[in-house]
Amino acid sequence: MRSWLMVQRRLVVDALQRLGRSPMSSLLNIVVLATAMCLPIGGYLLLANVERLLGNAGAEPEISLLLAPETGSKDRAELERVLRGTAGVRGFLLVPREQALADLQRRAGLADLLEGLPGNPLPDAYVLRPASGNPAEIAALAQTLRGLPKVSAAVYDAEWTQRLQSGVEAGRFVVLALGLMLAVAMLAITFNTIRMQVLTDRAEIAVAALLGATPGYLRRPFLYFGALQGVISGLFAWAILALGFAWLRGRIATLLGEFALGGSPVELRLGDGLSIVLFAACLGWVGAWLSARQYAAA
Amino acid sequence: MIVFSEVSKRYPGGHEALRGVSFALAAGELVYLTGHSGAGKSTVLKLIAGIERPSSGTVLVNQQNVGNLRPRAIPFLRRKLGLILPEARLLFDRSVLANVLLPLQIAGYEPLEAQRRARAALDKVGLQGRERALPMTLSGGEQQRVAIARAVVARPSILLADEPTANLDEAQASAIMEIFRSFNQVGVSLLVATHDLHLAERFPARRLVLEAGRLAP
Repeated sequence: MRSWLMVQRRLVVDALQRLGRSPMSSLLNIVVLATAMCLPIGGYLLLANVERLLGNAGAEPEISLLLAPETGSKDRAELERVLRGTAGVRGFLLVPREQALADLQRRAGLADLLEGLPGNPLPDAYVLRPASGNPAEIAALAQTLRGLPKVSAAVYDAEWTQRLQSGVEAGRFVVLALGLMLAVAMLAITFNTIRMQVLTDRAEIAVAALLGATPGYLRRPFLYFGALQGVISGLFAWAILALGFAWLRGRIATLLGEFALGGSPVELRLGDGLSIVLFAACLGWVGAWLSARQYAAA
Repeated sequence: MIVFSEVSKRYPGGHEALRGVSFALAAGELVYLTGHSGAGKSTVLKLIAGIERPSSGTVLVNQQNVGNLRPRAIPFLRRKLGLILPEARLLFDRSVLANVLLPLQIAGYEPLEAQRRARAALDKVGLQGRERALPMTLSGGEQQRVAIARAVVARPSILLADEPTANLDEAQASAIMEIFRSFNQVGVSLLVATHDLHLAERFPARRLVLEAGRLAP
C-alpha cells in the first residue's frame, strides 16, 4: 500500500511537471476549457435569476375580480358562495380597497401621485387562483366571472409571465444542449492534448514498458494530468463566474427593485463552485482515460 | 532459469525467425548467443522478455510459461529481468541517475532506498560522480554502463543483453564484459547476444550458435 502511494505521489508530481513543461500551451488549454464551462453555467445562472424574477412577480396565474363600488358585505358573501361553487376556481382572497391602495403606495413608489388624489380610486377585489394552468381555460373562466353580479371587471394579466416562463423553458433547453456540446468539446480537447503528449513521450513510454511498467502505470500520469487540468480549468471558470456575477449583482438587484420585486439575485455558492471543479476534473479524467487507453496502451 | 523447448517464431508477413530452438540457461550461468545478423538472436531475447510470443513451443522463465502469460502479468515478469536491449534506450532528457532510478520508481521503491540502490548500481559500473550528467554528454561505453546499471539496479536474477558491445572499441567492450563477469560471479545468469566472436573468445563461456533461426549442433 505504501509503495502504491509512493508511485501515485510521484505520478501526480509528474503530471504537475507536464503542466509546467509547456506553460503557454497549458494556460491556453485551461482558458479554453474554463470559457467552455462558463458559457452554459453562466447561462444557467442567468436563467435562474429570470426564474426568480418570475417567481417574485407571481408566475402562477391569477385572476383579479374588481367589484363594483356599491358592493356591500352581503353582496360579497353571496359572491364568495358563488365562487366556491364555480368549477375551475382553486381558491380566492379578498383584497380590500384600503389594502390595495397601501400595497400600491408601498410597492410601486407612487405614493406622491396617489396622495394627490381626492380619495381611494381602487375598488375591493378578489384575487382568484384558477385550478388549471392552461391560458385558454383561464381566459374562459375570466369571461364567465365577468358576468357575475357586482363584478365590474375580471382581469387576467399573467399572460406575459407565462410567455416569459415558456422562454425560460426554451432557454433552459438551449443551455442544456450548449452544456452537452461544450462537455463533448472539453472531452475532445483533453483527448487531443493527451494524444499529443503520448506521441511526444512515446519513447519514454516504450522504455518504461520494457522496464516493467504496467498499462495502468503508463496511463496514470496522463489521467492525473487530465484531472489536474480539469481542476485548474474548473477553478478558473469558478473565478470568472464569481467575478462576473459580482459585477452583475448590483444590476440584477436594481432590476428587481425597479419591478418592485423582493429577494436577492441567484449567485454562485461554494457548493456550486466545488461542483464545477469536480465536474471539470471528472471530464478531464474521462477525456484523458479515453485517449491514454487508446494511445498509451498501443 | 530459462528453458526453450522446440520454439519457433514466425512474424506476421511470414518471416520465420526461429525454428525448433531448444536450450536451457541454468542459474548463475553465462551464455553467449552468437550468429550473423538476422540469425534470430534478438528474437530469442524478445521471447524471454515477453515482447514477442512464440508461434509454437514453450519458453519457460523461472518455471513460468511466457507464451501463456496474460498481458497483465508480462510487466511483472520483466521486473525480474535485467534488459539491455536496443529498444530499451536511455532517456536523453533525463540525468544518468534519473535513468537508473526508473525501474525502481516503477516498482514503487521508497525514494531514499531507490536513490541508495541507484547510486550503488552506478558505483558498480564505475560511474560514480556522473549522476547528474545527461546521457548525451557521455561516451558510448559510458552510456552502455548506464544501461547496465539500470538493468541491474532492481537486482534481477537474469540479465539479457543484446549486442552490448556494438559500436564500442575493444577497451570499452572489454570493460563492459568485465562488468558482466562480475555480476555473473555473484550468481546472476547472463544471456548475451553478440556477433563479436573475438569477445566471446576473450571471455570464454558456453556458446549457442544460431544459423538462420536454428541452433547449430
